Amino acid sequence: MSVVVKRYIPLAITFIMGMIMVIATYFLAPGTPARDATALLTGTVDVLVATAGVLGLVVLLRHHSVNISRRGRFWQYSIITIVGVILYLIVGLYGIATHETQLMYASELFSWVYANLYVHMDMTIFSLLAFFIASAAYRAFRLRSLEASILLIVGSLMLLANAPVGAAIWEGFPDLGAWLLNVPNAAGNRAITIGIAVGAISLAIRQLLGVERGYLGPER
Amino acid sequence: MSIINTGLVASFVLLIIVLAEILVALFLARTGKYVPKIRKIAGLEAIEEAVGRATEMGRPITFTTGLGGIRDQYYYQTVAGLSILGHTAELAAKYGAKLLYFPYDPTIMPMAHEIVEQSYIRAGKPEAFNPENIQYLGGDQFPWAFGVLGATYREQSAANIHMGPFWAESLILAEAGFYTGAIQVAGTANYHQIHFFVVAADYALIGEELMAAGAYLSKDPTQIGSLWGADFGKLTAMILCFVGILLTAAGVTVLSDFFAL
Amino acid sequence: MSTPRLARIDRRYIYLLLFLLVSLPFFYPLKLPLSVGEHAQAVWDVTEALPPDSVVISSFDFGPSTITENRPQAKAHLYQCKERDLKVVALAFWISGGPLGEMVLREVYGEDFPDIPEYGTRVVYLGYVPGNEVGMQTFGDSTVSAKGTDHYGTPVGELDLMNEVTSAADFDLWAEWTSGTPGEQQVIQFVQGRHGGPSAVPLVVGSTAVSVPGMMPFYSAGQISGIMNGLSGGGQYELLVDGEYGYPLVEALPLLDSQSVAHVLIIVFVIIGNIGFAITKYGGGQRS
Repeated sequence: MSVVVKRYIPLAITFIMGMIMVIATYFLAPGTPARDATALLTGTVDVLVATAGVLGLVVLLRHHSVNISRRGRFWQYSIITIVGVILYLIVGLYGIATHETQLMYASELFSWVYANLYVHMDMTIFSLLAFFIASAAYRAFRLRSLEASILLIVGSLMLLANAPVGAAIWEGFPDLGAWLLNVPNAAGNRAITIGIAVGAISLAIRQLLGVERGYLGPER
Repeated sequence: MSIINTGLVASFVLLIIVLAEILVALFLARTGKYVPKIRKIAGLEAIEEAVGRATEMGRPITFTTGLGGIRDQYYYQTVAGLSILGHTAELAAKYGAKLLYFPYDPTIMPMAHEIVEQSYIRAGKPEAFNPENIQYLGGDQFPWAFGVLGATYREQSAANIHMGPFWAESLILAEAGFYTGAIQVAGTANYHQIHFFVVAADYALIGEELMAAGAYLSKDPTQIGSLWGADFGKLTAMILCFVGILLTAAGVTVLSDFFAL
Repeated sequence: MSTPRLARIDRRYIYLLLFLLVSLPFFYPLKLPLSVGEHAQAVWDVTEALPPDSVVISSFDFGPSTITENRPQAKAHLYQCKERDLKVVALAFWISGGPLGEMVLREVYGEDFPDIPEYGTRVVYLGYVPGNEVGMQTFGDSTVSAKGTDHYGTPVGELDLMNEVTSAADFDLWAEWTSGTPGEQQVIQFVQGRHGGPSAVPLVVGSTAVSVPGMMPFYSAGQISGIMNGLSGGGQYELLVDGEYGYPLVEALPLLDSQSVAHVLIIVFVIIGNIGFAITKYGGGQRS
């Protein structure tokens, strides 16, 4: 494929679409035909993204099917993956096919599977984070340097301020925690937020002008 | 009837100011009149060390670009991560290390595929490119994160590179990497996860360091010039804050009224 | 000089101890007293100041993983809104928030929800509104353009409440229950900022504790009027609701004992790790 197709056309599309969205955001009032046209554009992108979701599903199923057929590593778990995906898909499609009022409302079976399986599995996985935090705090919160010491002390104070045990030890911990959040933390986060925002603008301008091209792959 | 939509006047004016600063800096750098020196970003310099370590140990590199796609508000972090992916893939091809990439969003898969393949071609090792090393694990936060965790443990990766928008899974991935003995380079602009990477990874890119990555790694004077322009944008914000404090203390509300527009 | 054992405890012992001690308060509750902090109090004050019949947008933007922190917050606030005769338009901009929002509404308004007399006039559940931040922006500009039916398929034109609430100009309070994106920053950017600022669309947030530090600049600036800080914030709000109205749906308060144990244990491990580190750094050097 020529360089024009692989690089210059995507860069041109990026610039044109970017300028359209900037103009729409700042100058086109909501409800006007021009603004509705850009909303249509955004909706078109949503459709493309949804199509990519199907691509992801196909890739996932293909990867695990190949693993099963080759008896690759942990191929038994690939069976569980494929069965889980297909079963939940069937449950969802069954709900759509049998529901009378609207497409997006979940059937009772789908809701049951969601509430009794998915919710609990997701909660369980997330709760493992608590163990990782404990081990990370144990190994990383060391008094190595001034900055590390500040991190350790402030982190410990916030742990006590955010739980009732802090107030039980000393009644001033919650107020101290609130002050730490409202004053030094707010100042630091404000600076980080502004820095990130300006950095994002800089990156966006580089992309719109075609200066930043790393996401297209390296030039030959 | 105002030309600019309600609530966005101040935002537009600030955008124009920052845009002007960046364009001037870009122009000066492109014409060679002034190319600023950029300080070393330890995390980006460490990528080559990480790839080298993986090659010596004969273990793979695990690379992720977080939970972003190209459609959401965090796309700029994802794009920065993809730039770093290209750089890492080229190094991996050059040194002969295995690179595993786990995209979260299926929209990134074709881009990643293209980036990694082109990097291998550019390094002169097209035959070493294996599309099976780009694995889609599913589009939900924790299934994806634990898929990466499982791959890290199974493959015993020697280097973990996490560059992009992360949420709660950041510490999970960083801890997993630590316990496999991997060298870890991580970067995110999500303020609520930066501290987890700072604490748990060997090298961390904070906020806009991630967004400077593309410019930094390319060594292109024009891109580096834009970083200098962004610094002026931050200086503008600092001046506005300082002036705002003085005006508010004096009871003058002109600046706060302007920002309410 | 080898690293002393204190500095290299096998993490599996840490995990086991954490699991055992966090489980203990379920059998032997500590009943530690809890005081209401400034940020949760601010949410209470803003909501209590609303006149009856004010419209509250309650947005369930969280997933099952953070249900422990976000659900008690949302439930307590909704209960307060119900007791104060406020009108509630509930919705979700997260796909996982759709079914979770329905669960919470059933707990607050009764298992028969939506088959309750006040559905359509005092409370409406729109369910999942697609589009993330663009969906939020559209909802603020025109509610019917964002979602034409409620969660159960009824066209919004047939719901009296949605005929009153047509855009952000009709919102009296936005209550955002969030654990990520889209969340409170997107409400500020795409709704509040475009429709008159915090005085026109006040925003209160219930969030996971990890996200709260990043919200403080917005709280200081007045763009966020109050914050419930994680599980502790939810527990504080339950105290407030119980004190004023009696609250039968307590969920966060019993869990705070386990949270306290976990926090203390983490601090203990940090101290132990640093003792080991100090021995390595200072003790080993002297001997050699």
